[in-house]
Amino acid sequence: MEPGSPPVDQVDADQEIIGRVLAGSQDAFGILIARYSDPLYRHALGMTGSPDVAEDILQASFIKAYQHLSEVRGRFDAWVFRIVANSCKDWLKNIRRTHLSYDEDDQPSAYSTPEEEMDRNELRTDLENALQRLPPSLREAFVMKHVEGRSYEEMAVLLETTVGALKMRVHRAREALQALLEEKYA
Amino acid sequence: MNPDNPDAGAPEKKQHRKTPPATPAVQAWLDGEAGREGLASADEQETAAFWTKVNDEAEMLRRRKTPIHVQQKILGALLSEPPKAPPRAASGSISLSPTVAIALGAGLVAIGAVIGVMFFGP
Repeated sequence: MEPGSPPVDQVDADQEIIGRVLAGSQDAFGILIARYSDPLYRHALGMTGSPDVAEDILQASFIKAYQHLSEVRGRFDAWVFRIVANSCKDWLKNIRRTHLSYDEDDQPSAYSTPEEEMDRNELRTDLENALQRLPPSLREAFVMKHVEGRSYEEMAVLLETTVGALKMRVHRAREALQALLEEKYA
Repeated sequence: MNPDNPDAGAPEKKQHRKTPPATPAVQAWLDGEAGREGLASADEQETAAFWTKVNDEAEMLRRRKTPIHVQQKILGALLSEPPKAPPRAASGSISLSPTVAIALGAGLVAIGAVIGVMFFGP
């Protein structure tokens, strides 16, 4: 089996569902939405940092996938992932920084010690905010590895690149994130 | 108070020490390619502790689900968006399955044999 591939049964099942949708069963597409919306939503959320934008991207991507379903060649999950990933990158290219959800006003108020700041919820907020400050390619690699929990092999299939290149991106993302997270505690 | 060192005698301020950068060994551990026991130095252990906290939070983000209303909204939007028909073969061309092609070939051979018998005798 190809590294990072879903089970063969699932790939076959996806193909069977696609056949049903193309034969006129619109409801069958709901099975694909239910099967893949969570990882795709998490990707869009990790990339944009905005639940509203992630929802919009997910909706537009699934509609596009539905309209072009007859063009699917190979794995449906990889194909629809690329639609979402490209939509996220397009959004990031177009958005102005002022539209990002990161806002200084959202930051926690001053704490007496750095240790207090290292509270779990704050760390999560800090992590999300720091992610928004990474360049898109590093953010994408970090989100896929650490937030989505994908293997390098699967990432390589989805992003159509090499494991070595992705490791480099993830390592650089970690260095940048560590520096960003440390910034406020220094 | 010592005029040469105004801080002398003052209560010691708690200093936050920056987490050391991730060494190749820490990166390998984070990549799942090596165990934490391979992190020998105190600095590496400190960096590993920092990343353990970050990874715990990243795992919380991993549990997020698509809001139910989003799936319903997508399905609702599909009602007005019929899928495009699969691309048809170029006009004028004929596509045959192998079974049909073999059957047609056999039929043509049989017709040829009959015609041959009619004109040239058995």
